[in-house]
Amino acid sequence: MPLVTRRVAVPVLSVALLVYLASNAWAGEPVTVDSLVQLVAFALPIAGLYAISATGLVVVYSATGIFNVAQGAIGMVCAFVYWELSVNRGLPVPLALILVVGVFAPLFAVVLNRVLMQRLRNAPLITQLLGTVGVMALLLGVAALIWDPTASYPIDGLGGSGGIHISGVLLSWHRVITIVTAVVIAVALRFVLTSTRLGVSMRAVVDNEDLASLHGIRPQRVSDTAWIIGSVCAALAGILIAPEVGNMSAETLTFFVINAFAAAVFGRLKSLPMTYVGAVVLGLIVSFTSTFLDLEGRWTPLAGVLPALALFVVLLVAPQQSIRLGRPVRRYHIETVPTMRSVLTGSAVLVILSVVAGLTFSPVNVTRMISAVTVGLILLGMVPLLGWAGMPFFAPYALAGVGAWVTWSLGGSILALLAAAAASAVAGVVVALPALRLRELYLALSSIAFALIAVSFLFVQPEVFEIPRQLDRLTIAGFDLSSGTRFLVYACVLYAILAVLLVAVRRSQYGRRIIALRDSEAAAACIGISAASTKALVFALAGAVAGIGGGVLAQGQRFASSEQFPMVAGLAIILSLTVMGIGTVSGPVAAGLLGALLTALAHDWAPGHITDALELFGPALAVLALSSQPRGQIPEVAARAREHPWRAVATVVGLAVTIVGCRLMSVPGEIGFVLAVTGALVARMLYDLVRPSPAASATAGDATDIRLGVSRPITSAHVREWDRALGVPAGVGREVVAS
Amino acid sequence: MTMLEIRKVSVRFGGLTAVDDVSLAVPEGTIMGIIGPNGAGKTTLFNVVAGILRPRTGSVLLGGEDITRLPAHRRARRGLARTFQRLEVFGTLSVRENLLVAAESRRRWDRSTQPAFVADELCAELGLGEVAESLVDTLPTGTQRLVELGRALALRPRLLLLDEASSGLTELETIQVGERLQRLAGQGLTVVLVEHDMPFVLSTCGRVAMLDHGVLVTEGTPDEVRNNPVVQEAYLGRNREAAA
Ligand SMILES: Nc1ncnc2c1ncn2[C@@H]1O[C@H](COP(=O)(O)OP(=O)(O)O)[C@@H](O)[C@H]1O
Ligand SMILES: [Mg+2]
Repeated sequence: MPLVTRRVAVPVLSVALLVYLASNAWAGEPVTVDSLVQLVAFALPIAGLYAISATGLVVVYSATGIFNVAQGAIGMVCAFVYWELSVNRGLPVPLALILVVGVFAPLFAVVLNRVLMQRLRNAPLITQLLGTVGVMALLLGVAALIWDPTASYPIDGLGGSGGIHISGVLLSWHRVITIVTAVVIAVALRFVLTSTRLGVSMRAVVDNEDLASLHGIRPQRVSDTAWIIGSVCAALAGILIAPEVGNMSAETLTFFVINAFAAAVFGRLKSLPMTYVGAVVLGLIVSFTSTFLDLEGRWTPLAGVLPALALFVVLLVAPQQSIRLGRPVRRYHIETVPTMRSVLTGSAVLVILSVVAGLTFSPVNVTRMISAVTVGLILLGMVPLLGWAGMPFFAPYALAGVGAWVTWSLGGSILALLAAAAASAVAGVVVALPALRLRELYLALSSIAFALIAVSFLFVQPEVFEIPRQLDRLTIAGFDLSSGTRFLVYACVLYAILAVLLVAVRRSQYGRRIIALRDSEAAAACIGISAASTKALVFALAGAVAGIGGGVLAQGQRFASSEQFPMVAGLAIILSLTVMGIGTVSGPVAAGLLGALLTALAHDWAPGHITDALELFGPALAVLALSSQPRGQIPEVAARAREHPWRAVATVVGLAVTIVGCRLMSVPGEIGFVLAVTGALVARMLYDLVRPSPAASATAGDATDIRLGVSRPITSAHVREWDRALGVPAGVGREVVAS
Repeated sequence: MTMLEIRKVSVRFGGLTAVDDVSLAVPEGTIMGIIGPNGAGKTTLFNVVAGILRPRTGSVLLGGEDITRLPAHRRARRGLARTFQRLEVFGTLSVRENLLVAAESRRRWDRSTQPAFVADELCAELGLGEVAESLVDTLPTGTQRLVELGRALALRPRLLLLDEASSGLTELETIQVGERLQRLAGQGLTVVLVEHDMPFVLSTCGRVAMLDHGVLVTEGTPDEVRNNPVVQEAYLGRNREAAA
């Protein structure tokens, strides 16, 4: 559809929907001057909150090129620190504010930038985003450790009780302060960004990757400043939101930032004035629904997802991204394509291991293995999407949820599973459509928004998971699969089949086409590859596999509910997939097992609410692994095993010796499992001690970080090569004369 | 028949007119060279023809059909292939796969194509046999240029646009490419090439056009263009400055 048509059609349709909704849910409030003033008075503080959050996102993105998914989490931690200081420790409010906004937030920003964000500057987009997702997970974990999630954290608004009376409504001082803060930030930033040297050098260079790369290393001062501004905005937003949500909850505060996405995208992630306009429009929409509408029944949760829905509308009217030419930095890691033989072998090993585990593990651990493989299945769908096509998509559980729903409502048979695959494939394509024409980053944002909409609106619809019912036992051709062991083997067989199919696709012309599109959009278009249909194909594939994963989840638990598809967990499992190796078909199940291992460790050995914290720490620690081995553990280990076969042998021997030892001393299975892994690691370390491996050279194939003039000196040979490449016409004139 | 017709095309980037009201017609089976200093608008004109850029005004016709509003991939399916001045290879695919993916793409609108055969044959002909299984990112610029040429040829196009295809190539490779192009032109392929290597242009091309500051300065046979005072001024004048 041409842009002009879309720019008219989409807003008209959205308004029409809003009007339809309004006419059905009209609360009966008469539209008078008073009620309109009320509407605005209610809208402005909300707009202020959106604007402050979105400003943080925009400033950091336009100055450093990193979109900070952890923005909300930073605000959350700041809000809790503020609560701790002012409520728990009884410090005066102004002092607490200064300590949090003026000291804690800026310090945190600088540390974050120096420790992690600067390293991610030239990393592939997915790694950058996941770095910030990891920070988010870490902050959620830390918060859960310090501030018990089950306790309550009441907090008063700023400025005490009272406020201004406007047309019969009371605008509390807190809300007045919110509005004023937003305005002050706008004015201050306007001044900083246009009138100071530092500010000017912070303004958008990210839209032009060439220009950004010419800048080489951006001065640390610039990125520090940007992160400080971002972090201060986050802190202010967090502290201002906290009293509005009544009892502070870490997740609510963290995910509030999703509401600001639409505003930031409205400003193209670079224009602050447009961001503010977007925030005001959003505030008006939200205020309109709460002032004039009375959402009932299925529509009740709609109010909470309106800003997320608005993001899709903004994306639909955004102008087409022109085809990109010449990317200076390679944005992807080279993966070796598995041979059919290796994937068949791996699959066989997986199935055999599942039989062994099923027969020897305790029932609780078999259940854990089942959920590990289920997570693996869901993540397997993400491999073509994130690993091959390089598209950042962060809503695996939302797609899986669609699959689970369809499987569940069709009775949970194998046929139902196929229908689930089809339904999730369609869902994947539909969700991706608005962002397909745009830069990949927008896909990341819209997928997070989709995850929110799925969990808080779609999955709680009465038709979806709210019908109480239990599935029949799963049987295939009369063979009962309902025992834990059999179901584990069944799930692994499914995984094996899908892994083999995926590798077959990767090795086919479709696989090549996907990689071609990722490597060069322009060249792909010029050999007749349609970007839209190729991407749609990838989404269909991803949806189908993830949908099967969701279906297996429903089959395994024999019931389904919206709580099974939490948003944070979706981000966390993507993070562990990236740690394992985002483009490998063994990565997903390894990521699932890692999660299961952490759960087992936490539940069996750790007390109390540390359990939850540990589960969140896992992915956060993963960020460290990511920044040191961005290709992922599996490709790294495989590459080293090829170079140092004896190292692999030592590892296997260590594994075998420990297993035999555990058997001989009859150590319980679960502890033996952990010991065996430890034994393997120790053996590997011993080997490395005896014969240090030149580990660095093993990663030399990954050229992402080799930047001329930065990590490697420029030589005259380079200059000659560039002259040739640029076609600098050395001696052209002479040749004309000569000819 | 006219294979490519450019009608009154203008492109602006902000205040800069990169291509200014250019009209050009290239008959089928011709090799047309486009010369001009850096920044003259040659690459921009290619981007317009290939569908990477939308012109502000004007239209582009391929084999008589107006393709101005078609997206790049549809133009490719109508027989247009190109290479890029700043390389656009599929860096994490092997050399052979780069050619294969193009041949496979062609097979979608022409069932008679045999992708594997086309890829192997082109690999051998362009001297890429030895590096066929190497990932393109690991190869030197010159080789990557040959890969781009091979990928364009694997589409078996009607019209081939080459943007500085000889830069980074050895002299021998350049001569071989020139001969190959002339052979293909003999079989009806239309080629438009942007080149700085004047001897190459004058010996290979049947017609030559010159752009300067986005304006089409002249168009004619190599001899006519060589003797054009503006061309001489542009090249000889600059050379004198450089010598001074
Ligand atoms: N995407 C772009 N944005 C802005 N200016 C551009 C862009 N592409 C090219 N230009 C400008 O247009 C002019 C023509 O460029 P180009 O077509 O690359 O010239 P040539 O290929 O003849 O060297 C140059 O001045 C160049 O700086
Ligand atoms: Mg050029």
